[in-house]
Amino acid sequence: MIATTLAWHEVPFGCAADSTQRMSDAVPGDHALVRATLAGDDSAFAEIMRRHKGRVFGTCSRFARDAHQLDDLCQEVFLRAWRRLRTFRGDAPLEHWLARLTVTACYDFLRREKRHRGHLELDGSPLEFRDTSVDAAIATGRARDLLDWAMRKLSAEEKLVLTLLEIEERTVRDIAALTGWSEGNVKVRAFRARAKLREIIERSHEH
Amino acid sequence: MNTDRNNPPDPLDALFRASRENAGDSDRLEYGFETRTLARIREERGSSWLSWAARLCPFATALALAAGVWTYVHWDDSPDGESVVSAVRLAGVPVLDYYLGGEQ
Repeated sequence: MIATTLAWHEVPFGCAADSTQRMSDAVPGDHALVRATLAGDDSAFAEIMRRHKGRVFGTCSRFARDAHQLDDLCQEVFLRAWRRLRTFRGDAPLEHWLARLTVTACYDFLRREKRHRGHLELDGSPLEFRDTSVDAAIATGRARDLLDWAMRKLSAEEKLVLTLLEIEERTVRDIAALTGWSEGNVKVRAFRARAKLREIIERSHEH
Repeated sequence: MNTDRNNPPDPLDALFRASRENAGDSDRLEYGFETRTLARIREERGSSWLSWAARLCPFATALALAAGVWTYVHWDDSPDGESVVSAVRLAGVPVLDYYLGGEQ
């Protein structure tokens, strides 16, 4: 292959698998960048990050609570990508492969957070949200804070499925492909998570 | 899920909608992201060599010990106290023939 003998920025275009990604003759495809990275070219991996970081940041920002966590989580996604790049078969776009890695990293992050919070907090609730109604939260621009507070009481699986379905607005089929769960399983988990979230918010008004 | 949401409107939907519209701005974080991540990759690459070296340490030590033991056991203690190498160096080829079972 040409890409193994030339640097990625010298390659006029990628192999046949890159045909959908050819924007111009001067732009190498993702697959050419992957090959260059595997050959030890760090600038090729920097280009992969530059292309895909927007989507990764978009998804991770739904789970991280502050800028520091978000930066760490996104770095974790690309570190995993770099470690596992040899397992990328190239029969699907790199974007899909990265999306799966992102969701897996977010799920692991949620599980770690849940364990960590379990040690730190007794009830996991900031007092100021106990009596906040949904309407009041929306009116005062604190909808996301209220949702974060309520979602923190869900399990990692429940929070993941609700975030992907309701906030990222992905389809059930997409979520099944990203998580490895069956479509039926995604529907059941989402239904239960939604019911539990509603109960948490309703119960918070009763206090 | 997005089906069967009749009256009255589910307050959760309003909450999700508001949360979607309130997506944070990550532009500031994205600045220099590649540089930071590559630094971590290089750090990991370097530490992986060190960790491999550390893992190989016991094997290298065991190999050195085994070589020492083998040398001790097979040490040439001929009557004259001379090693084969020094005998060859002093007497030349005839001694080598003697050790190899050739003509004396």
